[in-house]
Amino acid sequence: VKHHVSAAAGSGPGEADLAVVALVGRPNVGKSTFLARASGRFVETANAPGTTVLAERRAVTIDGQAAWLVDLPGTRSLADQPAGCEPFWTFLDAAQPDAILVLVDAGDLGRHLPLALACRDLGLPIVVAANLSDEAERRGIEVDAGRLSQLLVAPVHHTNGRTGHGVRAATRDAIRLAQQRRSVRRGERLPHATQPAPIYPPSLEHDLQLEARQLIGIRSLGASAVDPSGIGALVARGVVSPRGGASLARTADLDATRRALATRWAAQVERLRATRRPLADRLADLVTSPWSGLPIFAAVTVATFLALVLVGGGLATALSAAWSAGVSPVLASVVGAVVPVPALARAVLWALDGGLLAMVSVGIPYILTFYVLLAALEDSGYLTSAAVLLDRLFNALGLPGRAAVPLLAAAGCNVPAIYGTRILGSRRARILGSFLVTLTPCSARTAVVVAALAPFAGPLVAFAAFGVALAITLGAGLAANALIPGRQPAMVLELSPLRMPVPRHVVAKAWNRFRGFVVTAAPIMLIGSFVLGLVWESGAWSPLAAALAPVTTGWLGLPPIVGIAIVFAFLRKELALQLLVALAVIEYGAVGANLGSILTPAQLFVFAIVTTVSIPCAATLATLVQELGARVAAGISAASLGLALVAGGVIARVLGAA
Amino acid sequence: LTIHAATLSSRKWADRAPAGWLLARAFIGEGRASASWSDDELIAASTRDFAVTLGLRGTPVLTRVARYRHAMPHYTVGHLDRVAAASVALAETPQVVLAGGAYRGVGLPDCIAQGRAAAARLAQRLGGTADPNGPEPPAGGDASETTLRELPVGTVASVAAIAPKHVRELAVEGVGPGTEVAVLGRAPLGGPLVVRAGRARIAVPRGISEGVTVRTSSEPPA
Repeated sequence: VKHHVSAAAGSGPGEADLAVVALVGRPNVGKSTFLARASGRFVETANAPGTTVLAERRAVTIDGQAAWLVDLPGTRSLADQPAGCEPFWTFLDAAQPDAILVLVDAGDLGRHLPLALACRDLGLPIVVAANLSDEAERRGIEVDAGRLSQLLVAPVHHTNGRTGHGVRAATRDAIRLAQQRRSVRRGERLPHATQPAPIYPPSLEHDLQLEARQLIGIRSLGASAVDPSGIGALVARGVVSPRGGASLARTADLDATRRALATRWAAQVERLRATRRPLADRLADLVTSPWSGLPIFAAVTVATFLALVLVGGGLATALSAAWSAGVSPVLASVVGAVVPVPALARAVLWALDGGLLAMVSVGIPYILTFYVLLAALEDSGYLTSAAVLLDRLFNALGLPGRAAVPLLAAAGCNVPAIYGTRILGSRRARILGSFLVTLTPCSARTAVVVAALAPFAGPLVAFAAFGVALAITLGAGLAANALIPGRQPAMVLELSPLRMPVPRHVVAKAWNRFRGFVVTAAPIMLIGSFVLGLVWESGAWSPLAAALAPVTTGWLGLPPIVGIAIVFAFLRKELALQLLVALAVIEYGAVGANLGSILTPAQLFVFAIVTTVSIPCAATLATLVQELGARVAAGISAASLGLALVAGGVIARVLGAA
Repeated sequence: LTIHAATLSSRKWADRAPAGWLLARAFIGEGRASASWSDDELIAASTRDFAVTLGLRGTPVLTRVARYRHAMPHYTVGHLDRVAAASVALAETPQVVLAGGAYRGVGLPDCIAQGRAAAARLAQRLGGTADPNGPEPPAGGDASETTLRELPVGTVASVAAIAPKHVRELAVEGVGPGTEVAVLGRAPLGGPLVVRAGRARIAVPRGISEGVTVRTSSEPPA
């Protein structure tokens, strides 16, 4: 995986030459809030779907001094290597920073300072922001910034991203140092003669010097064969100093020493005061203890689902009523006037009226609502904290416990759920999670199953169909986990503290993701509906049904027209049943309006299962392509189609329908 | 006065001098006499000070001068902070403990006490028990070792050792020898342990928790 850094803002003249400040910090230290404060924009383009950007940069000007601020992903060490990715320092190579702004938790310096030390070792100027100072204050911890800055030989600022306190001052310092280094590199200014005094034991410093000399040697050789890690190249390009490169190569040796130093320094600069434990900490204990945590998790999960159903459902009804009252008649008359051929006009209306209505009545109510809920849950820190209790359950499927959230969302709509798999971390977990998401019946498919089975076979049978679908999903998940290589061993995970989400941040995050969804799904819904309209209005479906007959009738034991309904469910899942009824009326006459008279309950059951399990709808497929690439999307689609056909055929034989 | 302190040794302990004679010992620190003073100069200064303070007249029949250059540490302001920091730093290497006049008291009783405490701590870390006749180990009488996995919920312990293959993974989460840990809960179905480590909460898979040896300083609450 190659990491790219791209310009988020338009790159005007001169911007290419700006100094670069990289933002580095452990996860949950509040970097995105800090960045929002520093740049004055609560826009999270880094997480917006549709971009391959993993690190975002923004031009920031403070007191007339401008620089790029590059937001790097949260990391625990510069050599951190998430599954399937290159080590963290490759981001530095991409960003080419002139200075590093290190965010540390003022309330837990012992754990955060080692990263600051690692950044300092790179040979780049650093500024340390002792962030989350409000949380530290509540825990009775006060940091002597002056003393810490003497120890680090670097500016240290108290900052609070939530209120913005200290953010500008810290950023200004970082920009100043970055500009200085940049002019040194361009030769406009002499480098500082003073080097910070060595802080490690002499033997370690000696090892670092030896390593540094080797790295300089690699530079002169210029061969990649002797530099497999790429650190030599990093040094050669001047991104880090030779000693900085050596410190990257020797991370494992330095870790313990840095940790010991950090513990000692933390003890020297912290002033502790007895306080009552903050409410957030006491809540966090409740949330992660199994006895209280599991019921709370169940409650939050159900509440999320209910909020989605109630708010989403209410909005959906209101919006579709408004659409049919206000927009549909206008569209009908306009399209009728503009398009001369009546059949074509009707096909266009399928797209503009039906397709857009589907967007409006699904996208805004369900998806936007879900994004707001998800962003709030993410920012509160609750998710990673609580879901750890479910880890074991989901581990069997190759997923971490927090997979519960996207899978739940999938019951509403698969598209946001696939974006939601971003919280799963590794690519493997995302693929497995997305596969399960596509197998989870969304609200549209649930409606099809209920409407096809409940009236003709009884509600119990409809219920049984969901049981069968669930069994298929679990079985497929277990099999996929066993088949896809690269099983991740269980890892030590930091649980985020609980904090109140910043509303502006939540809204910005949700809105950006929603925009991404609209950009992806809207064209597909329009085109899909148009194609559906064309096939329908032109009568082209009849030969298609004949072509599909060997599978539909021979294997699944269903009348040929059902094949058409299943195939076109790819374009619009929620229309599968209406299509089937309409086709039945054409094929069998008025009697076809009652599905129970042309299909046996067993055949309806097969239809329901195949519709539910088979290929995800077009919008879901597009999301898969966008998020995981065409190959994975094709693989998931093929797997679910195969699964649907096998399951359908087997069920047909068991029930005696074929 | 030149001398720092004096001991009338034959008054303090029997048999230090024949009956009718006195053995007196004087201590002179480097601050008051130069290291370049000759033995005679030191003896003269001591005799004079004994005369001034105790009224001891006459010339000693026997004198001995012993010079211990740089032998006694002179603690400066902030000494205890530095000693604490050194102990924290050494938590990384449990096989090394500090003892001696440079740390917590220069007097013999202080040094002996430090030596005994250090020996007891090492004996404990090596898996044996402290000498039953020795003093109580400083960390509390009933310290015991177990793995993080076995640590009862709510009991505070400190990390004693970590299996080599997990050292790095735990180090990036800020956990190493000496870190204070407590198990907050265990996820059901053999899921990870939720652990408070220092000021953070982390989830530790059970497999890894088996490789973490912890030491409790007191018995868990019943």
